[in-house]
Amino acid sequence: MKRSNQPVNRRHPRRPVKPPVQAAPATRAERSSLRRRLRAYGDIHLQTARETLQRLVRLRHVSLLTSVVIGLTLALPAGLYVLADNVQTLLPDWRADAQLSVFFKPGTDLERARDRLREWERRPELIRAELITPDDALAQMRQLPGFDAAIAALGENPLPPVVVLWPKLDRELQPLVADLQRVAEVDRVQLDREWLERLLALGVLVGRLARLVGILFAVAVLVVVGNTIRMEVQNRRSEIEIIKLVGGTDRFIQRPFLYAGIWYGLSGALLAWFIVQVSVVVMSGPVGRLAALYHSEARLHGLDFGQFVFLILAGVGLGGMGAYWAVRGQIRAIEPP
Amino acid sequence: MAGDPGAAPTAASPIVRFVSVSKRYDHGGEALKDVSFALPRGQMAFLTGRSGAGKSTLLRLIALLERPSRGQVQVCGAQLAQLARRQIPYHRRRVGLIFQDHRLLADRTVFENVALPLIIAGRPAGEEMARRVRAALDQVSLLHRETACPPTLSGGEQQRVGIARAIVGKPELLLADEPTGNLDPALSRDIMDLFRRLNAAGTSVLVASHDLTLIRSLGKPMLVLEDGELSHVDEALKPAG
Repeated sequence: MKRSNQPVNRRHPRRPVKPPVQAAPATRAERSSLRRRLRAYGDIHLQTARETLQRLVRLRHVSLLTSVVIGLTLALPAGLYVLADNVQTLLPDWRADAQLSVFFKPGTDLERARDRLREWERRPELIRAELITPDDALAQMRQLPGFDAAIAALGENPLPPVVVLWPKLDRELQPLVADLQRVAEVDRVQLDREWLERLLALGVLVGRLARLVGILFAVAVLVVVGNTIRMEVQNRRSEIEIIKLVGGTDRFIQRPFLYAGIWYGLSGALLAWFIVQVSVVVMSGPVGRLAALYHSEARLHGLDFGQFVFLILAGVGLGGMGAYWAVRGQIRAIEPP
Repeated sequence: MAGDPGAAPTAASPIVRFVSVSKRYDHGGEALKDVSFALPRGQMAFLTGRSGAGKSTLLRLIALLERPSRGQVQVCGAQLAQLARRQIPYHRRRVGLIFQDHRLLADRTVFENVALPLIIAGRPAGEEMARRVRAALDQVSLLHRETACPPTLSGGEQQRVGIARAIVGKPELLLADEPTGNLDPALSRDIMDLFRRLNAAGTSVLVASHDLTLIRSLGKPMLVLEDGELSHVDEALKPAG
């Protein structure tokens, strides 16, 4: 029955093969009609998006200006975010180098210093401890240019033994420092980390600032897009009236304006991304030299892929929202004269 | 296809029915006073009267460009008072509108102007749309101008583009407001003949015009408005009962 229905049908016209044959095209037609409608709907959106883009390209002196304003507006919070992100990701790296230098009183016996070292090595908050003997320290100093003669003039080695401690990360160091200072032989404890803590706090501050500026500038993008689209609606008032006359719904009329907003947001976000990446390249030279001063290999980084996607989505979302906010009531209010 | 369910009852009912319709504007002045008439399905009729007599207002009420202050307007079997705001666009798609000043999109081609109602109705662009647009352009003898933009056309040609746009969606009713207002007598005659042909093909047509000589020569029933009141209604347009 499956193979070649038609000849069988012709030869035996009374055979009831017709009902299934009829039913099949009906459901297929239904399904294809739904698919056709979905495709038509998608086509309309694609076509609107394309036509809107073509229009913006045609009016480039106006649309470029809007895109640039949005780009600059988005670039500032994005740039601040990158700055905060860099500070926060670079610091743990530098923090690993944080050391405590414990200076013994001059003339402290080397053996006593070794005892203390063994004692401290057992403390849980430390990763490692190392003793620098006065001889080692003197040898190191000799290698520095110009110091040779000075040291020779001293005659006796004036340097005390020093123990360098590497504390574990994310530990409160104040109790340890206090403990160490109570030890009789210890002259001074020097914490090399305070500037890092300050920088970290500054990084958190900049991060918070980026978020605040981000919110304010998101509102600015809404206003810029909204205002541009509002003027665009005014310019195309007669066209909107004609479309209403021949039965265009508000939804149909507002669609190209929403796409215009989305294009503005997208182009602005791309521009902001470009500005940030270029700034990172421009800044990476000085930052690299600064990092070198702290014996760090740290490199400045720009926006990663996830952050790039977020920036684009933010631009598109803000552009669409700004346009929607502008056209919603306005198009409704236009009536054919 | 338009009236499959309940085709029998609506076929007998008029395509346009006014029952004691009045329209008063906020800034004073009553544009229409107690207007009642019925345009039977498939009929062609003229609406005439001096400028300011209320011809445009009457057409605007049918297209739901305005709502009456009193009375009922019924179009294509629907009570317009019952249509919500968001249903208005769908109502306008069933009525083809033609204006004295054409109301064409100046920066689009003739083809795009005529295709507009189909695009608005969400029909996919392609062969089928092009076929229908060209059929409408063929009816107004403008096939050869489909890539031109309206400002490059003569007044008569622009009016025909407007008519092609009005008929491309195959509306049940055509409304024309002074379609020959700016045209010389020969061109006016052409346009009226075009309406007559469209009417012969089954479309109901209501044309507002003050050109009495031309109207009389066409021998179609007439409504005469004077100061917002119907001073004359031909027998064919009298409301039943």
